[in-house]
Parts: sequence; C-alpha cells; structure tokens
Amino acid sequence: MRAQRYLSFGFAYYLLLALFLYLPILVLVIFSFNDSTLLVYPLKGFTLRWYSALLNAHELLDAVRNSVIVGFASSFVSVVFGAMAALAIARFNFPGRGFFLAISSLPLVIPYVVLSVALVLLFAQIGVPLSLFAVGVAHTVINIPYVMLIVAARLAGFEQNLEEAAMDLGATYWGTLMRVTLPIAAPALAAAFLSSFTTSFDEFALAFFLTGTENTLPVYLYSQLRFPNRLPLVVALAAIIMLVSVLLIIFSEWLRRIGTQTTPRGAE
Amino acid sequence: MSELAVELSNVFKTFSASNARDVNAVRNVNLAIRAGEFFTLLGPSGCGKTTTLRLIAGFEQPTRGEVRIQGKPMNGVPPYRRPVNTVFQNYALFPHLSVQENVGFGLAIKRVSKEEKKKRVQAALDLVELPQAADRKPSQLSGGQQQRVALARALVNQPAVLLLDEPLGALDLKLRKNMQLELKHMQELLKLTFIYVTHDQEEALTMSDRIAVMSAGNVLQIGAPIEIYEKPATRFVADFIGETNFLNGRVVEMGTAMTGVEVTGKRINLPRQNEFPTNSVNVTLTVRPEKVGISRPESFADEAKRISFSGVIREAVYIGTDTRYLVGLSNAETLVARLQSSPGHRPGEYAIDDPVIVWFEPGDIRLLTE
Amino acid sequence: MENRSRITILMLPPALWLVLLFIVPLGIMAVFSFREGSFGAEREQFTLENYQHFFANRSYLNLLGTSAWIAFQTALIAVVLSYPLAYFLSFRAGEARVTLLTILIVPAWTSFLLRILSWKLILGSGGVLNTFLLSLGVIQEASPLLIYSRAAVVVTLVYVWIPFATLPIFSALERIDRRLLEAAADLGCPPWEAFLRVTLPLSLPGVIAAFFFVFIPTLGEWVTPALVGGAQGIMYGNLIQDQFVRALNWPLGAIMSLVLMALVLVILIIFNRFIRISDLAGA
Repeated sequence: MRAQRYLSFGFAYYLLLALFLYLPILVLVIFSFNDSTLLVYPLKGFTLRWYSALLNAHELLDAVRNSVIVGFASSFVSVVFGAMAALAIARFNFPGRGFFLAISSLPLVIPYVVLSVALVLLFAQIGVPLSLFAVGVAHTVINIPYVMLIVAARLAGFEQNLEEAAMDLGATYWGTLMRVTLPIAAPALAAAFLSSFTTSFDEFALAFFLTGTENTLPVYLYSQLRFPNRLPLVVALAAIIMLVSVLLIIFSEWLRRIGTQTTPRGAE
Repeated sequence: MSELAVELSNVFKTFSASNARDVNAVRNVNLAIRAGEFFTLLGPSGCGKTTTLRLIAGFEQPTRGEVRIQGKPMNGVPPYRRPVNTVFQNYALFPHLSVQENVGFGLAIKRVSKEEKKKRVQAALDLVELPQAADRKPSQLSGGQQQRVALARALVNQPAVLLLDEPLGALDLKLRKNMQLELKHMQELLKLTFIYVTHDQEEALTMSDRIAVMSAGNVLQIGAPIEIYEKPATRFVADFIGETNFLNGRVVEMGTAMTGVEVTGKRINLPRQNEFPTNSVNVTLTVRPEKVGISRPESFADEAKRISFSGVIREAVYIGTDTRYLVGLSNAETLVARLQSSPGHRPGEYAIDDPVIVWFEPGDIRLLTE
Repeated sequence: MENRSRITILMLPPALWLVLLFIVPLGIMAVFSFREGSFGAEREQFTLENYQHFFANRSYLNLLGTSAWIAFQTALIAVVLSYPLAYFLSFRAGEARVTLLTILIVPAWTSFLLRILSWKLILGSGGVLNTFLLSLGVIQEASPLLIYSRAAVVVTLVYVWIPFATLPIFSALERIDRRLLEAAADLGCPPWEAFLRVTLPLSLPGVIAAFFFVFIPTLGEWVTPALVGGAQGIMYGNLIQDQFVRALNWPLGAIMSLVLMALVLVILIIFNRFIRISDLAGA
C-alpha cells in the first residue's frame, strides 16, 4: 500500500517534468501545421503549405546540407581518433594516461565560449579562414572525449581474454583488433558516431564563432529568429528535424543496449 | 527458560516473478525458537532459509501465516519497529560512516545520550575485540574486522533476538573456524537468542543448540545436532548432513518391537522405530560410513545381532586419519565404509578386489520412506 | 616492449590532435592577452594595458559575479528538481527505469535553439500561455511573461539542464547498495530518517557532480541570455562574445576568457574528487 502511494506520487512528478521537457516540441509541431504567418494563438487552421514551401527555401536547405556535411566529416574524424584513444586507454597502462584522460575530458566541462575564442585565435594565427572546415574541426574537439567514453565503456565491458584467445590462435595484435575487438565494439562505434553527429548537427555556440560565409543550420536558424515572418518555415523544418532526431536517438539507444552506455552532451 | 523468542506458524512466502511464475520461497513453515537458544536454519542455496530470516527481521511480510516475536504478532510491523537486529551476509556496513558511527547507528536513532552511546559503543567494540578501530572507515578494515564491526553494530542495541545471515561466508577457512567458536562463546555469555543461517552443515553442527534443515521452502527436520546427524528424518537430511549410505529395502514383517526388512535379498531384523510409518513397504536404509565395519570372511565373527553382507572392495582411498573403502555388494549396490587408522586397522589393509564382509549394528541403521 | 609501439601508434594521433586544437589555442589566447590594439591581430606589441583595463573596470568582474550567481541559482534549482526525479527512477521505477530515463533525455537531443524558440512562443506576449490566461480571465492584458529578464534566463537554463543534472544523481543512487537501507531499517531507522542518514549522504557525490555539470557550462553561457535575457539578463559570456563579434577587441576578449578558464580550473581542481566525467556517460 505504502509503496503504491510513493510510486504514484513519484510517477506524477516524473510525468510533470516529462511534459515540461516535451511541451516545446509539441508546440512547435502544432504550429508547423498552422495556417498563419504569425506564430500566435489561437490556431487558424490546418495546412501543409509550410512543408511544401520548404522545398523552395534554398538558403535553408543549403544550411541543412552544410550541417550534414560538417556532421558527417567531424563525426568520422571523432570516431577514428576517439576509438584509437579508447583502445589505448582501455587496454594499456602507460605514463601520461591519467593526464591524457584529464586533459581530453576538459572540453566536456569548460564553457564553450572559451573554446570558441581560443579556436578563433588559433585559426587566425595559422591562417585557416573561418569556414565550415573550422566548424567541423572544432566539433571534433568536443566529440572525441564522448567517443572515448562510449567506446572505452564497451571495451571494458567485454572480456579481454577474447583478444588473448584470438592471439593465442595466431592472430597478430592488429589482426585481433580488426577481427575481434572492433567488430565487438561496432555497436558502440555506431552509437558514438550518431551521438557525435547529433551533437554537431545541433551545435550553435562554436559554429557561430567559427563559420564563415556559409551557415550551418543552427547559425542560420539563429539569424532567422529576428524575422518573424520567416519563422513558420523554420518551424516546419524544426518539426521534421525533431522527428528525425527522435528516431535517430531511439536507434542509437537501441545500439547502446547492444553496446553499453548512453551519452548525453552539453546544452548547446 | 522455556519461553519462546520467535514463533512462525504456518508461514508461507510467495514471490510473484515477472514471468508470471510464482516462486514459493517458504511453504508452511512452523518454528518455535526458545529464548537463549542458538538456532540454525540449514540448507542449500535457494532452500528458503534466508527468506525465513528476512520474514523474522521484517524485510519480507508472509503471504500467509503468522510471525510472533516474544509472543507479539509481527505481521505488518516494519523492520525498524522489531526488537531484532541482523548481521548481514556481506556486513552492509555504512561506507560513509566511521566504525564507531556504524556501531552507534541504532543508538543514535533511539536518541540515546552522547555519553551513554559512547560507553556502549566502546563496550561493544571491546566485546568483539576491536577496541582500537573506532575512528576508521569500514573500507580500511579486513573482512574479519568488518565482520566484527557488523556484529558489534547489531549487539550494541541489545536485541531480543540476533539474526545472522551467513555471517562467516566471506571469511577464509581458518578465520571461519575461530569465529565459529567465538560466536558460540559470545552467545552463551550474553544468553542471547541467535538465529543463524548457513549452508555449511559442519558449521551448523558445531555451533547450534538446534538445527532446522530446509529444502525447497520446507522445513524437513528440527532437532539437536546429534539428532539431525544420527536420526535423519528424510533421505534429503541424511544426504545433506555428512556422508551416508543408502540401501533399498522392502518391509516384510512388522513386529511389536522389531521390523523385518529384506535388503539385497537378505532378511534382516531391525529394532522398531517409533516415528516410522507402519504402512510403508518400500523403504530406504541409511547408515553412516563410520558405522560400517569391514572384516575378512575368514576372521569375521558373526555375532547374533550384527547385520552383515559379503562384498568386494572396489576402491580404497587413503585420506590421512581414515581410509575410505567402496564396497560392491552382491546386487550391484555399493556401501562406503570409513575405517580409522588404528592398531586394529592399518591403512591399505584391504586391497581392491579383496572379498570382504561389511557389517554394522542394527541400531545404527535408519529406515526412511522419503 | 612491443606494447610501447602499439600505444604510440594508437595514442599519438588523437593526442597531437587534441594538443593542437585545445592546448595550443589556450596558449595563443594567453599570448594574445598581452598584445596591444583593439582591431584584430595586427599589432604584435607586448603590453599589460589590457590587464590594467580589465581589472580597473569593475563592471567586468561584477558581471562575472552576476553570471556566477545566475549559474549558482540555475545549478541549485536544476539539482533540487532533478533529485526527486532521479530518486523515483532509481528506487521506485523498477525495471522500467532506464527506459523512463531515456524518454527524459530524448528532448535534450533535439535542437536547443528551436526549443528556446518554442518557449518564446509559449511564454511571449502573443503566446499560448498568455492567450490561455486571457481567455480564462486570469490576466487582463497580454504581458511578455518571463521573457527578457534574468529570471527567464534561469528558467530556460534549468529547463535545458534538468536531464543532465538527473544523470549523475541517478548514477550515484544506483550505486547505493540496497542492503544498506535494510541495515538501517534493521537498526531501528524509519524510512525518512534512513533517507537522511544513508541515501542522501551516499548520493552526495552525484549531487555535487550534477551541480558542477550545470554550474560550469552555465558560467560561460551567452546564447540563452542573448535569446531570452534582454538587457537585464546578459551574462559574462555575452561580454566575451561581444569583444570578438562587435567590439573586435581580441586581446580584451582573450583576457576575459582566460579569467573564466582560470575560475573553472580552480573549481575543477577543488571539487575534482566529486566530478566524475564518466557520469556524463549515463547509467
């Protein structure tokens, strides 16, 4: 009896917070079907025109394309480097290991504004123009630590003697890596890639500083927030992106269940 | 004192598993544990002994039946309002508290005054022989020391009954043996009721006043160690406690003072056992290996009441103080005999394939129906 | 040893990459802070003028103080709201707890900017909430509820951070051996007191970690104040952003960043033993 009461009270609180977290998403989706240029209540009627207008919104679609390119490229680099570091960290003890872990996890906790500024100065100094390339590079800095955490957790989760068994059967270290270790870690690698991609796709604070003439989607969205009449279009796109994100997350969660741990990330 | 510390009447505990198959952890258990008694719940893992203990502690509520402590019904009473304390299997010491804070935990909750608390905590630590450890954290102690702290933490509250859930399970053999004796002495000194859960039959025999042997949620037999060992009530009890022999038999005659049984084609007479049901025809005879004697056929003195079978040595294993012989009987059944190395029997006296006579006294045989 | 070459091959590329893109830039930032001039990197002269300017002008450090206060409130509220949530998930939600936790995390992965936009739609003067309250007669005229104020910044950030504050607390609660609570009950401790004496102290590392996971990034936050803060709600991060985007005084911006970085490092070092980065990787 008592446990039941606690349960229902706790569950009510859970539902309240879940509603709080999902409300903005719900509101956006509703407005994306609203037949009015103004994003105000009450709703005017059902329409799909914002969705059809999206097809001709070239700047917006360019921004989406840019974000996808940056996302893919930076996630690929992040996964390669992050997985290499994870392999070393999970399997070997070496001088500087703890130091590397501490330094490499710093990008997770320092304010992004500091990182943005530092990278602006670096790129100015070595002559790399502000560009999508610069944004992609910046995104690897914040994604490599996450990839490391996810992959290292997976590597810690399976028995090292599988690798020893492979080597015992005559495989070389690198052969074992390719035939045993990486295939077993594959779900974690995929989850890490998805996590990196969604982070990059939605990342605004770094991209704002580092992008040049071409915008990523968040930077484009930010520039559009000042023009209310263009917002319905943005909202329609937002609804699509959120739907895709939710599907991607469910997929990556599913991968995580096969692999190991989940990975959230910072706010922006 | 004959007053009862703990009573369980017709207690059932059913856990509903998520896959819709209910587990009957405890079935119709009746116990009457006397005040001041060292009472042991003994059985293999999964037999319901820990669940029984948890029913007494209050961590579980019975599905049916009643639990009484010092005569008071305990159904629905939460663990924090029961006059019992538990020594947990892996000690469950609070990692964020020092040893004296751990030991003083129960007193702090009862708002015992500071000086009083300090005095009693120190006395408890003295009792478990850890007077110097007060300021240390549990993680800084060895397993044996943690065990003592767990004991002190429970004893300091002066519970009516102390519940111990395999408290020595994590210790190595030597420490275990020492702690067994120490616990027993402590219990006698404090005149406290101990309810002790273990799967180790030797531990149970060493320490207990009485033992309840459990299997599959049922209590099979309750009795003093000697009773449990010498007069097992069921085949399971006989098999679980120590090593034993089983022979198949058939009751052919029921006299007033004697039971006639046919074993390996031979008719033997056994003294009538009171608790033995008279209508059973197929029975199992059990006899402990150390009660079995071996002689050469030529030197065997066939005394009147002795029961004997002829057989052949199949296996002889020398184990130091004893030699363990496996003897094949005429109908392919086997008997194990343990002969102590003594002036009358030197190790290796009988070799494999030697024809022998195995024999035992009728009083050392138990008739079992289950 | 052959392990050595393996470690080198595996570690060298990522290590170099992170040194080049993380350590070196911080160094450059330090160098820049001693440079003269307010327009880009042209004039390479050593000067302490920027430091004098920064520390002489109290408004900079005051704003840092204000930002720390905003971050403190945000972190505190986020932790207080997250704790019961994490407790429910860990202690009462049974086998469904990981699924329930995941459901909470999902919205946090969708566009941050768009969620903020949505809150503006909900809370703004023509928004859903205003219209709703007007129609009920609770309020007489539309008011830009909560928008463009320091409170709006805090509320928005709390909204953003709740899922991430829940994670480390949940992890800490999951690590508590449930038998300790049985032991407490066995020693006469009723549930509420057992919570105070056992559960809460043992989950404290997770609470502290959650606090700093919110506090530190919030300290340098500039996007949220720019969107919902208005003039009252600006934070130290906006100041830095301004030096690079509008005022183009890079050396001053570099000093501001270094001061922020130093503050963050001090906090990280002091509370190092509580802040488990791996907690961010979830349950």
